[in-house]
Amino acid sequence: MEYLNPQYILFAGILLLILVDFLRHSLKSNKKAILHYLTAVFLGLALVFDVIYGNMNINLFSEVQYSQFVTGFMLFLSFFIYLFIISDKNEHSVAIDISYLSAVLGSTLVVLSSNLISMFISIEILSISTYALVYMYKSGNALEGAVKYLSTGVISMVILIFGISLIYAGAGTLSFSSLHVISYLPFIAGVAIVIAGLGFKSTLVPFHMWAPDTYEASKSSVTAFISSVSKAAGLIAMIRIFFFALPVSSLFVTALFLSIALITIFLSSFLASVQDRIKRILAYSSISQAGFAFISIAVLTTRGINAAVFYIFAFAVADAIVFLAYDMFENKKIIYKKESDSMTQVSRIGAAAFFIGILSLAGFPPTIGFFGKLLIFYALFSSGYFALVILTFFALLVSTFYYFNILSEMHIIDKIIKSKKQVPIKKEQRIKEVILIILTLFLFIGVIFA
Amino acid sequence: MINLILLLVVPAIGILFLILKKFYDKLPSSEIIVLSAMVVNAILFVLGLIFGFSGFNVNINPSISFSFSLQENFITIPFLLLAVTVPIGIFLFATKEIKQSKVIFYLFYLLVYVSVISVFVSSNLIVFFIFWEVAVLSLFFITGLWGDHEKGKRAAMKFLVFTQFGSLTLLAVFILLFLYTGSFNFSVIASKMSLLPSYIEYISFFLLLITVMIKMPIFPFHGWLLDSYYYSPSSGTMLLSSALSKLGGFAFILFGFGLFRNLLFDFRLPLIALGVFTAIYIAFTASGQKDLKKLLSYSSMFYMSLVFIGISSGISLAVAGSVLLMISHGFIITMLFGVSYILMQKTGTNETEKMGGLMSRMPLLSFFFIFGIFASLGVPGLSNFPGELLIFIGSYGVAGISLIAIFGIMLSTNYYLRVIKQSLFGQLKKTFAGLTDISKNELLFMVFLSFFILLLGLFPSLILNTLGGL
Repeated sequence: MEYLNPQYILFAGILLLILVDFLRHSLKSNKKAILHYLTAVFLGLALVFDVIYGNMNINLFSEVQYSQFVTGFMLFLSFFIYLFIISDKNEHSVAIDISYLSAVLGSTLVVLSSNLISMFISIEILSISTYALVYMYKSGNALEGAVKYLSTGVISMVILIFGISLIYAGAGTLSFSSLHVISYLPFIAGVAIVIAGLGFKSTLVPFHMWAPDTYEASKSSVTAFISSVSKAAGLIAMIRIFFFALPVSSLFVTALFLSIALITIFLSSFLASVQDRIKRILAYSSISQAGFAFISIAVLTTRGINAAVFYIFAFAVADAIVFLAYDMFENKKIIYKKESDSMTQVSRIGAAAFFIGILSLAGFPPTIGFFGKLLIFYALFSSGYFALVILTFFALLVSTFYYFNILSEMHIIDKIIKSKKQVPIKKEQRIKEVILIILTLFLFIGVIFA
Repeated sequence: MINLILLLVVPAIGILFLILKKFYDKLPSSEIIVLSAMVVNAILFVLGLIFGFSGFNVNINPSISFSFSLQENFITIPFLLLAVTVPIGIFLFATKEIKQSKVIFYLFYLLVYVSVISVFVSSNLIVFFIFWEVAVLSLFFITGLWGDHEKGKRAAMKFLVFTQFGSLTLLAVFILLFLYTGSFNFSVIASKMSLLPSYIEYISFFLLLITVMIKMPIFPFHGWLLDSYYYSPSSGTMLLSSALSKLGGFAFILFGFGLFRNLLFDFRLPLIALGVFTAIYIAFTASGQKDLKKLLSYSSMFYMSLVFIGISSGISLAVAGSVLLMISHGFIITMLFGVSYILMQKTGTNETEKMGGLMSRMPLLSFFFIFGIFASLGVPGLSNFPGELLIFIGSYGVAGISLIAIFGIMLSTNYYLRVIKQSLFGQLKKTFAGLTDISKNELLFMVFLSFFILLLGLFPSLILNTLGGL
């Protein structure tokens, strides 16, 4: 019972996959499908064990109050995203299964890690496997996206380890539980640099440059993973470090955090509203969602953290839905927002799910995006940042504008209503639609976790 | 006792049937479904008036005090009367007007209907806000999809962005209230208002004012009004002016008058001045309009600014007058927009200068047009009169400047009479010689609304008696 934790399961899964693939090669068999099913089974098992037994609890990795919920929704999302990926007919190599499993493993480990070194290693596991995932579908400019991701990623990892070493110089320890005694100057420098390192993963301005290009270059279902699960991992790591570990209470840190968050929200909102391609708009919107989650982390109160965790959950689900739905449209070459009215010809359910996902991202009730924003505003108000909230309202208005612009001023809903043409629907598309429906339902019943 | 949830369940069943109808053709036609849902609701409302309403409560998430709770408050009953009756009238009209994708239109229509009712009866602020937003979104789609082909979508976007800002400030008020009272429940908040520090009270009151001024709308925030009223389908315009703008007034009374009464007293002079300025400004703007629908849109805003004067004077008498004026204006403006649409259909133009002498061809329509305009001008015996009278009596005691708004009523007399003169009287143009009078359906619509206009005009005490808690 002690070892029935999702992390062990995932690790065992990776090993088993390598073994089975090796056996398959030596038997000269050509059946890859069984490996995909095996991966899905392992992801599902990991989810079940997370719900029943919780995460692993050892020296370098330990649970905090929200970690079971966070790993739970990460595994839940990655399970469905994976099902979506394998429901495509074209052949995948086993490398995708393995790197996907290690990416999931890495992101759950980030949530749990209780030491700066173990956190660094978990982020590395996550990053390296996502570089591979981005490039694995050799479509269009996947290489460019992957290289951009890789180069900025490597640099930010170097910066991160530099910041960690500064913190070590100041505190003499790397364990989160004993980081409380620390002298001022190295601490400030360390914090600033750690933000730079983690801000890359969670796409905060000014470390967001890679995001639109990489999101656009990679296959949308992979983007769904990067923008939901992987980004959630980066933000949760921030929470773990800055709320639970470092004794942050100085004015400087709060001001730094808040300004980063505000710049992220505003810059991404304005950049999103001038984009032409749907996927770039979605990418910038995803950046602005990270900004909202970060503004709630920035107030560094328990309320803020709770709000942030719930908001991360909310936007991860919505982002996953939007990108997965967009994957179906992208296959039919719907790229510019002018063409969004032909989305319904691909799949009406897909278009409806896309629509509801956008509503949730824009924060309209009764979706969980609304409740997430409610909790964030509550956290901000209870810390006394009144003017800040009013400022974010303007960003929200801009975002309302561009979200409804993606829908190309409602062409989508127009077509959902009017199209009578029956499109022949393939079996794989049915599977995709069922996945989207399940995820969309979560947008409504997710309130119970608030 | 009639449980308030029934008022929500019946339209919800209607929505369900509408969706089911896509799969089973044997169900009755969608018009019958919608109409019967609304009629049953009206009957339930009447039964509730006789036997009393009972509340409803289901906890959903106690940690953020989110419970689905419905309870009547001190101004619910008159607004419920508006919300359950006017949509029936508008629907009689919409069945003629809407030509394409009817079922979906009815779906949005029922959504607006149910959400307006829910806003009026909800006692949990999150539920209030959810339905407030659902109403905005559904009307956004109604304007965008069934409105003017070229400009409808842009107008809907403008409407959404403006009102969304108002909704966000309202949300901020709710969160501030929750922060200091620990509850989203209206009655709990009302009993704990003393816990709010004074600067929080100021902040939330001004945020609330922004919401109200966008929604009603009042002078600096009325930019969305003309576009969305003008480019909506007429039934959408009726919903906007008779239901949505009343939500603003409702929120102002419920929160501004109910919770922040002290601040309202402090600020009543500038607020009344703002209302008076809006009234005069809009009366002048409306005088310059040649287009009937634009003129009616501005006149609708004129009456809402009278309501604003009444509520911000903070006196029970004037607030009661505002409620009366809002209810009666809901009926009257629906009727006038109906007339303007019928004129537009028959003559092919919205400009009154190009009509003329229609009285001889359409006596019934002319009768109801003049009836509606007289009601709107506040002729005694029709429903606007008692409301306007109470507002002016009440607000005069507070600030004499409110009487300047009477000058606005004179201006509106001027432009209304000009409209009548130009369109109904004079020489009949030859192109209009073959015009016929209104159909039975439209007659029913007019009679239905005029019944309420007469009823409220002759017996305003019917409404005033329900406002005991003011």
